[in-house]
Amino acid sequence: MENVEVEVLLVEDNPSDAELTIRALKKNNLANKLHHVKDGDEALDYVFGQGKYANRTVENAPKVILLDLKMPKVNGIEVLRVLKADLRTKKIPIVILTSSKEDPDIQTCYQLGVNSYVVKPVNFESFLKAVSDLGMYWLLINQAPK
Amino acid sequence: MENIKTGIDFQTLFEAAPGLFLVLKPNTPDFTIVAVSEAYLQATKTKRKDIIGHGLFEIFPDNPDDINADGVSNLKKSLDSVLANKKMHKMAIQKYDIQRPQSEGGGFEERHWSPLNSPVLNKKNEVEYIIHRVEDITEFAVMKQKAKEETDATRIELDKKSLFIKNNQERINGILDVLLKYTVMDFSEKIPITVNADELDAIAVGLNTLSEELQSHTLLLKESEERYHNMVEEVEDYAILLLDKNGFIQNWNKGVKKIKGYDIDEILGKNFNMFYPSEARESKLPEKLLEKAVRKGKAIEEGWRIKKDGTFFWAYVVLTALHDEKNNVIGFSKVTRDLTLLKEAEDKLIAVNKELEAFSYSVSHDLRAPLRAIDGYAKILEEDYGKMLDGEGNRLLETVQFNAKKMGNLIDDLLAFSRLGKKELTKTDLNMNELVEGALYELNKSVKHQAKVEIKHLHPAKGDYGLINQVVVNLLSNALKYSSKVKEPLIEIGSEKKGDKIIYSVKDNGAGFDMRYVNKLFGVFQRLHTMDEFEGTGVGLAIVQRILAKHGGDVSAEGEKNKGAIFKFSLPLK
Repeated sequence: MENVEVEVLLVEDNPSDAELTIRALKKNNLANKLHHVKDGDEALDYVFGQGKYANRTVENAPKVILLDLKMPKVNGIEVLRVLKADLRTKKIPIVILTSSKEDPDIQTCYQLGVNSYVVKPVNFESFLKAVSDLGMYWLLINQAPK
Repeated sequence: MENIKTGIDFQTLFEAAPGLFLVLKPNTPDFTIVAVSEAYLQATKTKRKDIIGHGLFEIFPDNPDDINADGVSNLKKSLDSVLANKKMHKMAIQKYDIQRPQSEGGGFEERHWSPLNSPVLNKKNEVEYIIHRVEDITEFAVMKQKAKEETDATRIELDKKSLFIKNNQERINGILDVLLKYTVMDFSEKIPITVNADELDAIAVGLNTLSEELQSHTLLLKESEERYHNMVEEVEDYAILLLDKNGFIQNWNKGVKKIKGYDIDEILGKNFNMFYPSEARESKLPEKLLEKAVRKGKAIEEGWRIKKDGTFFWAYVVLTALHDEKNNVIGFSKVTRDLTLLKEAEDKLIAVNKELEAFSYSVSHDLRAPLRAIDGYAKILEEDYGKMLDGEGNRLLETVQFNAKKMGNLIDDLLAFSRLGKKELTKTDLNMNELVEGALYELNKSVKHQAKVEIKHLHPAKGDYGLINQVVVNLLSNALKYSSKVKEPLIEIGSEKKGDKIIYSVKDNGAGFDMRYVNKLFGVFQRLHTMDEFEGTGVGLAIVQRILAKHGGDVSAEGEKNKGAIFKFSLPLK
């Protein structure tokens, strides 16, 4: 499965949030080609095709990365910094998932070149809508630069 | 007697001669007057007929009132010498007074003469006659005498003075010594007064009185100066230094030792930049401070300084330029306070605040995630298994979701409230009518209500747009909420100017409240209604109060249960 073309890479350590996100995308048929990794370290291995993802190639990039900020080991900011600093990966659209729009990290994310961010609402229906909207936009509307 | 040879009347000629002549015939022991010139008669106030044929000394005796009179004897001596030597004799100037005629009151008149006796020899070479010629020099002699007397008087006076000075040299020196001490503010010594009660004593009495006055004044001045000096000197909580215009230390107080640890002689004459860390010295901070003090009168600065032992302290420094009467800068006073404890407390506070901030975000992130899960999974349960649950099962599930959402709102409001503490105000002119109408427009989108909202003309305000908008939104939404259950809800918004404040009011005819609990209205999480009556988190009014406090205004409320409430908030005009 590692070599199939993945459209969405979900980087989320909270299993509940991950499940809810995946369910929201599924409802809109956007989770057909989704891969879920549980921390930043794994996310980088996946994108660069290293470690346990050594059989993947960096050219085989996901169409969009949904990136949680607060994660153990390598956090979202670090992942963002690395991906946006590398010519091979800097064009991958990255959407930050955050719990609060007051997060001081949001400013940093924009400076690092993040493409968008989504506040995860407590209200599930709002959450569902937010995730669906961003999935629609990045997967269907936005034409990734080739 | 007529001279037959020449025909000239020599007698008449002689008698008219311009000069004082007397012709004497030696007639031992006296000399008989045989001829006299008219001028002589006039000068001696005599008449020819009274003296011709009479003896010289019979006619011209000495003045009996003048015990020193020696005219007669001198003249006799001179005439005798002419007889003996047959030669002219010029006498020294004689005082030889003349008799005043009885018609003029008698007595003698002072006269001085310059006499010359010259012999007239006959063929036998005997002295036939003696011509006595005189010049009246009385006027000159009297003048000379007068001048002499005056000179003598002056000399005597001078002599007296120099004697006085000579005799009083010691006393004068004593007075000068005392005066010399005056110049160094020493008024302790008094000038002794003598029994003479002379000029020096008069001076001494005057000076002694003066010195006593000066002494008491000086004492007062000295006491006040000492008090002032002691006051500055004893101050320990402030290090006070006096700097010259180039920043070199000239004076100090005890506080210097206490705060900076230096002994006085270690810093005297050194530049005050010695208290600054090397980076501050390199950036010329001490010089810049002096320059600023010259320019603006004073310079205030806070920063780390070095003590003698090398440790640092947080200093609050006020440098003040000192001027002379011509407004030239002559130096600086430098007052330093050790605010290390305050600085540490401040730093601690900043650290605690940062921690609190971090805590807020952590609350925001970490408390919301499980809530999201609760709500989300409840929703999934409802979607996937709702049909398998009965009515009660679905109600329970809804309650779970409702509470999860409520907790989410509580967290959001609490975060908003805590954010206010650190928010900086950006004050602008606010058109309050536009602001209220805008807020109402937004509220109308999310809140369903039937209220009639009357907005009167509102005074413009000065404040932070976002925050004042928040105040209006909160008060307006409260009014809409609490009037939602009455038949004809009415909300009135007005303003009035009062002193230097503008008071805005939001009045409704809704549920109102019991004035006994008015104090609880503005507390965080404080509510006067149950959730069943009206929804809410109890943070809205706390936010309102906090925003107004930050603006220098306040908020108050009046209400009556079931009659309505009026909320008033004030903003300063400036």
